[in-house]
Amino acid sequence: MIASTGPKVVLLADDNEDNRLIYSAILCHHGYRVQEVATGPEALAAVRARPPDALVLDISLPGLDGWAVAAHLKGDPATRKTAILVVTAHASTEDEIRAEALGCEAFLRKPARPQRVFEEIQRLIGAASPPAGVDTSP
Amino acid sequence: MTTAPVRSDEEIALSAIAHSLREPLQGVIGYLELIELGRYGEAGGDLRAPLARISANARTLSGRLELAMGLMALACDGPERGTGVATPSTGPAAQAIRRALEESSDPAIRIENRVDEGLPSVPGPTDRLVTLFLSMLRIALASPGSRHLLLHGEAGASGARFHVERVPDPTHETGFEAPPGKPVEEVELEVTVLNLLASSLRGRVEWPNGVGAGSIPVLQLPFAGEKP
Repeated sequence: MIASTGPKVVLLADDNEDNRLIYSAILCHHGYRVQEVATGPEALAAVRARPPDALVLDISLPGLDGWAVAAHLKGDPATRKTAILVVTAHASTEDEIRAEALGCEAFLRKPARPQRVFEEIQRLIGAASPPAGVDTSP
Repeated sequence: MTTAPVRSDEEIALSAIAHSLREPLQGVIGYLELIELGRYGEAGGDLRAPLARISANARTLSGRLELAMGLMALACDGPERGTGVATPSTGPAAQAIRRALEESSDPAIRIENRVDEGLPSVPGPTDRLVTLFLSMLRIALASPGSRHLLLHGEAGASGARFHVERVPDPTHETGFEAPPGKPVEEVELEVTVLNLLASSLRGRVEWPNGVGAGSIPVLQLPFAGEKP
């Protein structure tokens, strides 16, 4: 397997344009390549077409809610390795537990500071690019 | 695939209200932070002070929103309508508390859970109370420079530290402190929440130093502990 040397990819799935702009800005600022979708079906299709390193997943997505998206992705061997950070304004203790039960790697409640989202993504998938000079080949 | 938890009409309504309030607040806090990070260029000197005030107010609003939502949730599902008796080993609650603590980068914060057999069970809807407790905890964690809310707090060399830890007697203690110079009446919402928590959990609130600026009420709860 040839390790990718490009920046890591984060997919933002949120129907709120402000949220996409804010999270995209902070993640791009730290070197990640960011893709954006606004609906559940778009999120599923984007991950299945080319699994990103991480998915920032809103729960209130039109078409297919975030819970269903997470369940589909974590139930599919082809996509289950994509780390999922659930960021939702429908946040309760039960939601956190449900996200964990689905296999989502992290959970943040809105309002979530952009820097906090970046830190969580970095914790999940590491820095945007491998350090220069590091041989990542097996 | 996990199934969706069954929710009452009140819970669905509360969730919708929370969503409608948190989303625009997310925009305010998000854009403010991007401005502060210089994402849109350097904010001029005249703008720094008002931006800082807007940011502080947004954080305060966020905290108050979480408290209010917790209060509403508790009101919707009060002890008299709850499941009655909660088990002392509520694993999900322990998980949630740990997760809240993990949100803080403060290495001084720690939590210890234990199970004390034979302690009185927690009355009322434990999940609602845990949610409310977590809201209070999050505010404390998000405001390390503030003395507004203390959870079993200790004053250290670098200022107030927030700890949640086992206490020697079979209670969990929490409390908050009115900031110096700020009348306790101005933290009315927190006092309301504290009193509600105390009555809901059959605990009690004590004011060792009397009620007033700088006073530190202590909430003692017959909380039986949780499995780590």
